[in-house]
Formats: sequence, structure tokens, C-alpha cells
Amino acid sequence: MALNSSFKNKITILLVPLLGVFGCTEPFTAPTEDFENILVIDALITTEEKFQEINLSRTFLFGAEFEAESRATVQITGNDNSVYSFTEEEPGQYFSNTAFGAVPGVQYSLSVDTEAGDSFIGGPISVDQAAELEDVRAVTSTTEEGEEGIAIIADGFDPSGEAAFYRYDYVETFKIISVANPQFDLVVASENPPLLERVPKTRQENICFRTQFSNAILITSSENLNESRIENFQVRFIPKTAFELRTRYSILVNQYVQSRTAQAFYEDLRDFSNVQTVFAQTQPGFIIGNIISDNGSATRVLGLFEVSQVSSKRIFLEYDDFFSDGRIPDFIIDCPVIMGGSSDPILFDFIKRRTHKYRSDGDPTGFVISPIGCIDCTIYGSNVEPDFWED
Amino acid sequence: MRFLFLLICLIVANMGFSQNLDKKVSLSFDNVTVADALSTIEEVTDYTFYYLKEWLGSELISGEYNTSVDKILEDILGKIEVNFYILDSEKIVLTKNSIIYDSLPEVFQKIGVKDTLDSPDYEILEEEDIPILATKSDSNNPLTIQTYRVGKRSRGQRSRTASLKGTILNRMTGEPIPDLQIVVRGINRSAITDLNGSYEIQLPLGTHILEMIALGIENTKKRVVLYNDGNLNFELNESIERLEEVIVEADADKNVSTTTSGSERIDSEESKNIPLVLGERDVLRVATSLPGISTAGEGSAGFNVRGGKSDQNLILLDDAVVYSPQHFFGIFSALNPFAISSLNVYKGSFPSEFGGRLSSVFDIKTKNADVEAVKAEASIGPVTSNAVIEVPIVKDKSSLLLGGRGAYANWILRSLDEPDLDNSEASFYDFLANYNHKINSNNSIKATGYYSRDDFSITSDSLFVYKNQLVSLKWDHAFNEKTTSSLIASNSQYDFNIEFDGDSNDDFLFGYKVNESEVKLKVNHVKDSKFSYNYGIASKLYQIDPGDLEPLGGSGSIVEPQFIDRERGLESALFVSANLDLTDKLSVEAGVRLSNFLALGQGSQLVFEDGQPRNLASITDTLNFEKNEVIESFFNPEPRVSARYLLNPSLSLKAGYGRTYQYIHRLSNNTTVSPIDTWKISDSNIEPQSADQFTFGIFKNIDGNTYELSLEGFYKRSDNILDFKTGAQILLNENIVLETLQGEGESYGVEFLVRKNKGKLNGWLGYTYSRSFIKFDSQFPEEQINNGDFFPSNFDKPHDVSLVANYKFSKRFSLSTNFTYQTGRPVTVPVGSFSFDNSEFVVFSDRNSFRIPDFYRLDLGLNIEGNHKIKKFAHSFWTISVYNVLGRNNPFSVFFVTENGEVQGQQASIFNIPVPSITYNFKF
Repeated sequence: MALNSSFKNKITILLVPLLGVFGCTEPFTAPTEDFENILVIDALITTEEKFQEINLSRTFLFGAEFEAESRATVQITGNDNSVYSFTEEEPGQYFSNTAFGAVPGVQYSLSVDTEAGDSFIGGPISVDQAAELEDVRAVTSTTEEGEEGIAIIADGFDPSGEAAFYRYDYVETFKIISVANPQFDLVVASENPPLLERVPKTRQENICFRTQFSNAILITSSENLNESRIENFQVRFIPKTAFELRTRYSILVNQYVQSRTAQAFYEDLRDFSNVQTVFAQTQPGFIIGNIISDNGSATRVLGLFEVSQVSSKRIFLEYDDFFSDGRIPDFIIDCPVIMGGSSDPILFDFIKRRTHKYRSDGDPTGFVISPIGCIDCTIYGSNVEPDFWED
Repeated sequence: MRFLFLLICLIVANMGFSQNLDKKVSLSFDNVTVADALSTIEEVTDYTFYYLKEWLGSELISGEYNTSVDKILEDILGKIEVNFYILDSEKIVLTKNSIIYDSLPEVFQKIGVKDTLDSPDYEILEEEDIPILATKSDSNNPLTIQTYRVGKRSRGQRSRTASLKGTILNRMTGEPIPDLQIVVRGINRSAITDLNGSYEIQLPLGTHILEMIALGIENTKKRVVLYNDGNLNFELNESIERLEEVIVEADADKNVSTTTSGSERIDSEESKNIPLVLGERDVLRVATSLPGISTAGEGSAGFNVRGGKSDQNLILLDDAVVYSPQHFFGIFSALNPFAISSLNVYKGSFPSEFGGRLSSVFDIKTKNADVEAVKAEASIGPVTSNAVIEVPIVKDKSSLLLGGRGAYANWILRSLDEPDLDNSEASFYDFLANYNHKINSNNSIKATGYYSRDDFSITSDSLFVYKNQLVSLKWDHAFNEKTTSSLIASNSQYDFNIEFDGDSNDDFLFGYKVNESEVKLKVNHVKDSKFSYNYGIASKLYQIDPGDLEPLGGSGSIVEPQFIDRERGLESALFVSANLDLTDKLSVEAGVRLSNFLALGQGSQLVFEDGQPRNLASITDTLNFEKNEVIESFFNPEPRVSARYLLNPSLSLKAGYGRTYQYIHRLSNNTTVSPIDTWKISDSNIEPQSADQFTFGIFKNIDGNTYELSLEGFYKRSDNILDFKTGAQILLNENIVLETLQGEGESYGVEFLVRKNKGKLNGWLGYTYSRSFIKFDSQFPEEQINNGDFFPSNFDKPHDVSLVANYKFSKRFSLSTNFTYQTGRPVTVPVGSFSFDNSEFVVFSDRNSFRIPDFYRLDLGLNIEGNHKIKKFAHSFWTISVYNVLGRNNPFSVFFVTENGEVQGQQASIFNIPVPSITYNFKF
């Protein structure tokens, strides 16, 4: 039995750029007449002790808004007589009522009953393998296209040799320091006549932390290797010019050991959402997953129920650790300055519409303003330093 | 002017012969056979004789000669009713009874023969002057026969006969013509001139036609009105002029008269005028412009014939299978156009000698090299260059053809302003060599070898290589005039390698290989013009190495070596077919192919629980088989029948039925053919594919074969065609059977073709309306596609119009055009989006529910032949072509990419701008 993922991954990835050889692509608008409304279940339970999360949603038309599946009854049961009920906290986001982590060897089952009366089940499945995320490191790297940057590399290992399918995701957090740190704000003192007034700033807007989640499918396999060892798996590539590297950057890499079913599910997702070339046009189709309708109805469901061992590591890095040219990336946006008096209609309009903020006093009078993104970093992230942060 | 040139040539040629002829040869024979005598002459002179041994008999001859060869021949052949003809300075052709004429009969020439008049004894009469006793007797055209009046009637003449005497001289040389036979038709008199060219013949008084026959002399008729004894001298022309080309169209009515239908022949040379992308000449591409043959998309590899999958075509190069006849993913042909002589495509009514594929046979034959002189042909194009050289080995007997072809596509990759491709490389080449040897008139052999290889590397750490290689050896033997046979041995192999060397612990080398060896014997027997039959036997051994994975390099790769068991299978067939003209109008060809396939060990086969879907859970057992143990045996009769009824000589109706089986299947879950598709043979879990095809057609020729029209309908049902579950993994999958689905196919269509074969404007227009559906049904939803209903196949393109036209302005300039219109092919499109793991994806549902926009493309080509001076060293030919003149953006696929968590629909096309190219061809 050989569903060799790393091998297949390579082949898929290697074929893709060929499109550029002769091809050219144009946007294509998908037909909408055959739209099917299907329940989507994303149920990943990990060994980490936490409030586990299950997401329920509906398929939606292209360009339409994400549609949550609300008011469903979601429950996980283990064959150790454990029962975990889930409660919807945000639309479509269901969290376990108690914090728990999957226990190796226990068989877990999922049940989902929708408001419309459909029932779906998944499992029973268990965590059977465990692998350690041995190392996460950052190295300078150059892409095939010649772009310089930093690659975040992961190594995983299962000494028992049983883990075969690995999936990674990451959460990256980086510090943003505004281009200026004024102690004041401009507020509208009077609409008519227009008048701006300088007031002391009431919160810290100078240092923020932005968090971004991975949105690529990062899977690999040790199936064809003679030990369960993943080396130099690139989780993330950050171009040298990316603003993430402007100050200080941190990445938390999670490594999941997953089942063959989950691996196949993610491979299909990836293959069907990849560039298709004349040379490799994968025949797409409905991805079945491992969740089925319980009441025997033919109601389709697109879902994956997975119980995974997770291993995580976090690293911090800064631009100067890797590049000595001192060309740290530019700030996220351009920060032009605009000057005017306290009754200047242009200034007034910008401040009123909250597109700009006070930067400094004018010389000799009036105020200098800049786009809000240059002054107030909270538009990018939180001004509270995360617990894990190390400077 | 041309005439003068010709004349000079003739004189030169003549001088050449005379010099050779004049050469005296000293020989003596002592009780030897004529054949031995001829061999002796071959030894001492440059001449070679062409004859059949049985003509010469076993009579022994003796003699001493010191004279020219022709004299010797006259002497030794004189008694045995064998004539000779000196073809050139090295060849002498013998004929039994008959004489080789070196000029066309007068009906062709329509010019009279004028002889000099230098005898006082006669005068030329005008036709009207012929006296009463002169009757207009025979002759095709009396006007061209000169009439002579000989003798003076004297009073009291008693005798009713008279003696005619004279001397006959060669007008060119003035020498007497010996051994010239003078025949007088109707009264059975004849005379032969002696060494001095003198003759004497007794004839009744009156009008006679004298026919003068001699080798090397123009066959001449004279009318003589004989009044009394007299002299009549002639000067006759030598017939040194070789026949000018006469085009004999033996198969002019082939379109209408053959019993079978659904086959097309493409001549490689004729295909040179069709404009093609990047100036590449390609018989396979030409085939796709014929009704019923299409490709899944522009520039995609593989062919779909009458709604069949691309693995259902038997592509033969000199009888050996070519698995991948295309380079660079289908954009270029892998067959050297200069080395190919013709391609026969059978879309239906397959001869029973062919089997093993359901939909078509592409029977490609290579050219035999010239046995007389070294010839070469080459072309230089923007991407590839081709060359072929033909070398005689033993003059007139054997020759060698060597062809090579290479691409320099790298500059294209480089010049595309695409940093992605900076590390890309693509190259391909192919070689072809064949040797043919005519051992004697009954035996000839031909050996062909072929190798093609593609390398491409998209990233600096990967390399894909795929290769075809084949050899075939054919021995043609004639038992007698009516029975001939061919014995063919061939081996062909297709393999590919994927190398990944990224200095990581999973660097690997993956290899796949399919190899087949076949022996085939075929015997043809022609009983008479109404009945012929052929039969034979063929056996083929498949050896497939489905996957072989190795760690690569010294970089510490920990890839575990893996080898999937070799698959072996033996496909054998007995075939017989007969063609019988039941009446003048009704002809029937009936045949059967009995095919057997043995899946052989060693290997293992999974056993599944009955009534359960095939998956890991339903495996009940694994059977292991020893080497050469039979895993599974299939035996299938494949009847093939076709009939033709002639409504009139230029209009016929044809009908056919044929059944085909296929025991080897291409595994692919792509919508088009890819070079890394693998092939698998049938076993206990994968049934052979089968198809039944019914055809009916009406065929019409107008004005000879100037216009050929045909309208043909077909209905085809196939079974056990192979497909895969969604997202199946194929490479290195030991249990591929868990992923396979087998279903039904149905296709039908009407093909209309009108061809104009002659004239300044020639070409063809084809229109096909056809549909192709497939169905994968099962009691288990996981083994269904589209709920088990019929749905359009990936290559279901109902309307297909092709126009290929070539207009000759002059001998040197011609303009050719190629227009194609096709309904857009079906594609699978999403039915919605969904969100998963912070990313948006699309959800696909029913397969092939949408069509990409219609395809159309116009290509133009201007062909310029170099001048036609014969003495020129090389003959050149320029092709300037523009592919996709209209710049139509023909999408070949649509797909949905998730980038940065968002879905984008895209349509891709290959050539969306006009692509000009220029190719220079030359030959000498």
C-alpha cells in the first residue's frame, strides 16, 4: 500500500510552473446555475489541552459571503465514556464546553445535528502516532524565481517510525511600530464652523502585534522514507522586502500527525485548487472526506473529522539577524504628511472621516497629519503584547 | 528550350550507352546454362541483369565471343523466346516473349513517324491515293502509317505474289539493324533481317501492314501496296528515349470500391504544405484534421478517435508500438517527418491482423532509403531541425536510412519574460534508422530502430525524462505470385524517470517502464481477383515495471528503495480474414481475431468480498502467484465484417461491424494525456476493455477521383473502460485496483468528408457531428460518477469542422490554409465555494457539466519551392506560416486556484496570439 505523499507532492509541484512556458491565463467567471448548498464540517481535535474548535459552514456562491451553519448540536464522544459538548460562540464556530486534549488510544466519534434535522457522523478514530517537531529554524533562502528572503524550516521525527503523514500550519506574529509616536490626537471640536482640536492621546498606538494564520496546505510524508523523519520542510517563505520583517517577527509552527484519510483529503483540496496546466489537468470531483450522513439520507456533506497529535515550536527573528545590508523593509504603507490650520477644510475632512491622524504640530502653526495606518498601529493588530512575546 | 535540354540529355545518355555497348567482351561458354552465362557477363562487365530464372530454362549453350554484350545476348537469348532491353549503362532487363517498349504507344504520342525516302522504287501515297485494291485494314490510326507503293505492275503478270526486299538501317547510327522482325499481320508471314539489315519476304500482291519489331528500335508500322517484286529500305529510329513519367492511379476508385470504410491514408510528403505550429510538419496532426479524430485540446498529447479514450489507439511504427509519439507534451511530433512515408489510420473496420486497442490503428511506415544514390533531406525551423540521409549499401539491393531530429527549445524558455522559467530546460530529440535489403525477388527484409527522448526540468532540482525505443525486424517472403507472407519481430519500450535532487533527505529517482515484445506471422493469399484471404498468428509479451523508487545522490537521502512487482502478460491472437466479391457489385470482407490474454505471475492479487465496494475493508485475501503462473486468462473472439455494394462505378454503400478487446490500459486521473501516465495490464481485478462498432456509409467519386465524397455514420458501445475515483493516486500505488472504476461508453456520430485531390486547389473539408458519453454505475455511491448516469466524456465535442486547402499559384508558390472549429470540450466546474482552514476552496460535483468556449483557429502558410533546375546541388523549400492568424484565445482548460486563501477562476490557453514561423527545407 503506497499512497506516497511526499513523492506525489513533488511531482505535482514540479509540473505546475510549466504553464508559463507557453500558456497564458485570464480570469474566468464560474457559472453559478449549478450551485449546490452543502454542509462543510471542519473538525480537528488535537492532543493539546484546550477548548477544541469545530467549524460548520455552508458552501456559498463565488464572491458571496461566507455562510456559517448555526444552531447545530455538536458533540464528541470517546470510548472512554467521555462526552464533550460544543457550543457555538461565533457564527459557525463551535468550542468545547470544557478544555480537553485527545488521549492517545481513545476512539473518538463526532456527531453533528443541524437545525434542519440532518444528522452526520464521523469516526470512531484515535490518535495512534506521535512525532516530535524537532526543530523550527529560519534560514536565508532564494526562491526558484530568484527572490531573496527567509525560509522557515521544520524538522519532524517519530522515533517509533509509525507516523507517516505530516501536516503543518503556523501562526505568525510580528511587531509593528508606527512611523511616529505623537502624544496627541486631533478631534473634531466643531462641525460648523469646522474646527479641529488637539487632545492628549488616550491609548498606546505606537507598538502593536499583528497575528496572521497560514492559509496554504502544508503536507508532507515520510511514507517512502526508511524512517519517519521530515527534514527541511519549508513552512513559510518571507521575502526580504516583506513588512513582516521590519521589526521583530515570531512564528509558531504546529506539526500534526494525521491519518491517511486526512492526508488524501488535503491532497485533493490542494490538487483541485492548484494551477492546472495543459500538461497536468487533474480531474476534479467531489471530495468525500470521512463524515457521512447518519440518517441514511443522500444529503451530501463535505467534511473531515480528524484527531491528531500536535507538536509546536515558536521562534523569533529579526531582519538584521540574516541580512547585513541594513535595508530593512519599508513600512506597510506610504506615509505622506499634510499640513494645515485647525480650520483647514481638507484637514478637517480627513480627520472627520478618520482616514488620517495627528502626527505633529505644524511649523510655525497648525498641524501635520499622516494616514491613520502610519500613526495608529491598532488598525493592523493588537496593542497588547502577547504572553509569549520575547523581545 | 526544355525540349532542347531534353534532347541534349538524350544524346548524352545515348553516347553513354553506346560507349558501353561498343566495348567488346571476350567470353567463352562451354555447356553452361543461360543463367550461368548471364552471371559470367555480369562478372566481366558493369551490367546487372534483371530476370526470373525460370524463363531461361535448363538448355545448355556453348560459344566463343569477342564482341559487344548486346551481340552476345542476341545470340544466347535468341533461341529461348527471351528478349532483352538495355535500360542504362548498368542494367539489362530481360523479358519473356514481350518486349520492353521505350516509348508510349502512338495513341499517347499522337505524332506520326516519318521515314526518309530514299528508295526509287516506291513513293509515298496520300491516303486518298490508295488504289482500290488497297483496303483499309487494321491499325489504330491509319493516318499515322505511311504507305509505300512498291513494284511496277507489268502486263501479263502471272504471279499473285511478289518478293519484297530491302535493308533496314538505324537512322541515328546508319548501321544496319539485324534481327529485326518484320511481321505481316493477317497472313502470318514474317521475316528477320540478317546481320546486314537485309530482309526478304514473299507476300501476296496488295496492301499489307508491315510491323517492324526489334529491341532498341521504335516499333514501327508501314503500309505497303505491293504491285510486284521490289525493294523497300527503311531507316528506323532507335527507341532510346526512356518513358516519361506516367501516373498510374491503380487505386483511383479506392474511396468507392474498397470493402472496408473508416480508414484514411496520409502521405508524409503531401502533408508538407499544411501550416503547423512553429513550422513543424506532422502527419499525426494532419490526421486530427480528418473527421472522427481529435485531440482533447490544442497542443495536448493523445488522440480521441470516434469518441474513444486516448489509450485506445494502436500506434505502430513499422509494426512496433509507439507509446508516446509526441514530444513536449504533445506540441511536437516525435516522428521525423522526412523518415515517414505514410500513415494509415483505421477508425473502424480494423483488419483482423490488428488488435489490442479499441478505437483505432495508426499504422505508420517509414520510408525505404534509395538504393541507387545518396540522398539527404533536412529542415531548419525555429525550434527543431530535422535531417534524414539515405545511403545505398549494396547498390540496387539494400540501403540505410538515418534520421535525426533535435530541438533547441531552451531559447524559447529563456526569451519568455518569466523569471519562473530561468531554471527551466526542455530538450528533446529522436533518431530513426532503418535498413532494407532485397535479397531476391521473393525475399526482402527490413529492420527499423527508433529512439526518442524528452528531458525537461522546471526547477533546478528536478528532471523529468521520458523515452520511447523500439526495434522491428520484418521479413517479407513470397511463396509464389499468389501467396506472400510477412514475419515480424518487434520490441518496444516506453519509460520515464523523475529525478529530484534538492539536497534534501528525500531526494529520489523514480522510474516506470513498459516493455513489449511481439512476434507476428501473416500470410496473404490471392486466389483470384474475386477472392483473397489472409491469416496469421501473433503473440506479445508485456513486461511492466510499475514503479521503482530509489534514494538519490550522496546527500543523505533516506528514501526507502521501493519496487513494485513486475507485471507480465501474454497477449496472443489467431486471425483470419477473407475478401470475397460475391457479385460484381457486392463485396464482403469477413474476419475474426481470436485473442487470448494471460496475466502471468509472479505477483499477487487482492480478493474482495462479494457485494461490497472495493476498499481496504473489503479485502478478504491476497493470492500470490509463482513466476509464469497464470493469474487470469481471457479468451475473446473478435468478429469483424464489412460489406460494400456498388450502386454504380462511382457510388457505393458500405456497412461494417467490428468488435475489439484491449488488455492494457493507460492509468491517468488527468483530463488529458501526460507523459507520466502509466500503463497497466488486465488481471483478475481489471477486466479487459471491449468495444462494438457499427458503421454505415455512402461513398461517391466525381470526375475520376478528383472529388471524393463520403458520409459515414458510426455507433460504438464500449465496456469496462477505466476511470478513477476522485483524487486517485496512481504512481507507486501497489493497490491501484482500489482506485479504479470500470464503466460503459457510448458514442455515435456522422462524418462528412469531401476531398479534392487534383488541380490547383486541393485539400479537404470535413464535418463531424458526434457525441461521446461514459457511465460509471455501481450499487455503491463511492463507485459511481455522476450518480451512475451517462455523462459527456472529456473529449465530447459535438461539432467539428476542419478545412485543409492548398492553392498552387505556380510550381513554386503555394498558399495553404488550415481552419478548425470545434465545440468547446466539457470540463468540470465548481458548484460553489467553501471555507476550510482559513482558506477558501471550491467544491466540485458532477463531472463535465460545463463546456469551455468553442475552439476555432485559422493557420496560413506560404510554401516556396526553390527553382527546379535539375543540376542544382540541393532543392530547397521554404515554409512561412502563421499559426492562429486570428489570434483567437482558445481556452484549453479552466481551473480554480486558491491563492492567499482566496479562490480565483482562471482559463488557460496555449497560443493566444498569431505565431509566425519560418522553416527552411532542402534536399539533394
